Amino acid sequence: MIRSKYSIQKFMKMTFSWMFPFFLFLAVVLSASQNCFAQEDEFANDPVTGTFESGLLGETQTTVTPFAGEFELHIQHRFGLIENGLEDVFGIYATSNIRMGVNYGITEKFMLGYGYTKDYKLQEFHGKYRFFTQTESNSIPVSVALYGNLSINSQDKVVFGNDYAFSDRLGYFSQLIVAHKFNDNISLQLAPSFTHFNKTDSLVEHDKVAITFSGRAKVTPSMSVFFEYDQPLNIDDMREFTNSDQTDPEANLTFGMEIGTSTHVFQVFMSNYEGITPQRNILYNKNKIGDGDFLVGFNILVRF
Amino acid sequence: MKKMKFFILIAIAVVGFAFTAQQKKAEVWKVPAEYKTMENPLANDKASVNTGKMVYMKHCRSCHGNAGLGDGPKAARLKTFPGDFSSAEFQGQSDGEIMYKAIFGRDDMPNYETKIPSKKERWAVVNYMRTFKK
Repeated sequence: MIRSKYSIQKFMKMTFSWMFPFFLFLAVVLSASQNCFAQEDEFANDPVTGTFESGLLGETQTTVTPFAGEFELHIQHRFGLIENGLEDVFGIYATSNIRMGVNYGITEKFMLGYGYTKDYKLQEFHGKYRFFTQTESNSIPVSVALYGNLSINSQDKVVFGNDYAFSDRLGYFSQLIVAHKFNDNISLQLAPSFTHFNKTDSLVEHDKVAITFSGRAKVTPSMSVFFEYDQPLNIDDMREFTNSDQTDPEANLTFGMEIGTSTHVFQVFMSNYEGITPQRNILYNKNKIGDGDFLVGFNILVRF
Repeated sequence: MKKMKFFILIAIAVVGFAFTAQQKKAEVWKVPAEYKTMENPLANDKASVNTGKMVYMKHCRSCHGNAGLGDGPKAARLKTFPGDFSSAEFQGQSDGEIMYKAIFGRDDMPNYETKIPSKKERWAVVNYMRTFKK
């Protein structure tokens, strides 16, 4: 395992190279949808609600946070790859990954949470703050949230090599989430993210910028279909090692259905990601969309 | 052994009937005067009814039923009958009265102030409940 030689200059250069087209795209999308929700009534300045059913959509976070004082229990399950067909009933009898966690809404816009994931014995602490909420009149055209996740690998220290330090266990994920609700049925969001691991496997980079595009469409008042596409930006300017392209992480496609009730949200989907924890997914995914490396997963959320 | 099975069946039936028989009709619900006369600012059009339907199906359907008859899957477990929204008695209330009861709740009926924070959605669900009128 190799420690980080993280360079802030490299990151800044890379960030600005994709920021401009990102915001240009956002401006075009928003100007096109400006009148879909526009109202000149007493609700004009009210915040838009129900952009997404919950703070989690498949593998990605959304701009939604729990209400102030509300607890959420999350159960996330990923079966094995479907590639073996009936041999392991499309991954149901294969090795699976599980995460359980709780989130708590400290205010209407700020939540903190803790969870643990089976693979790599990851202990996670995460938080999300929504600093803009879209309004009915689109005077604020988007909801914007900042999400951060700190994971601690709690495996035995022998897996980290000889010169072990506690910091080797840490992995970070930060994401800016920009969402727009077009109407009662359709919401889309774009979310650039930055992943950093203090220590990684040989030839695996320590940093990765990625972009996530996701959305949902309601098909009945309580059921939706959704998709998510995650693209790690494997750009040469950011490479730590000349031959690190051999370990480039793969993109992810998730698609599935969601049922939301007053107290529960159920999501069943197919995905390339098996890590559940976002930083593991972004940096280590080897399942290829083109090769059909999909698995079945589900998320259950209980509010109380 | 046969006698034992018979008594167990009788016991289950008695317990079952005991629970169903306990459900009572709701007592009179006093609504503050300001809500009784409060006007619904949301036009009763197709868009608002659709929005109201989404809110109703998410938060209300499980007790009040798809058609507002009080026959949702959770209704039988309630101490109080959730009401028949298609009845003349229910539909005779003002929009403000219905909104007050739907959002603030009492006893078995939960408070939805935090779960339905949008004023627009609160009035939209009233517009949807008006479609249950026979």
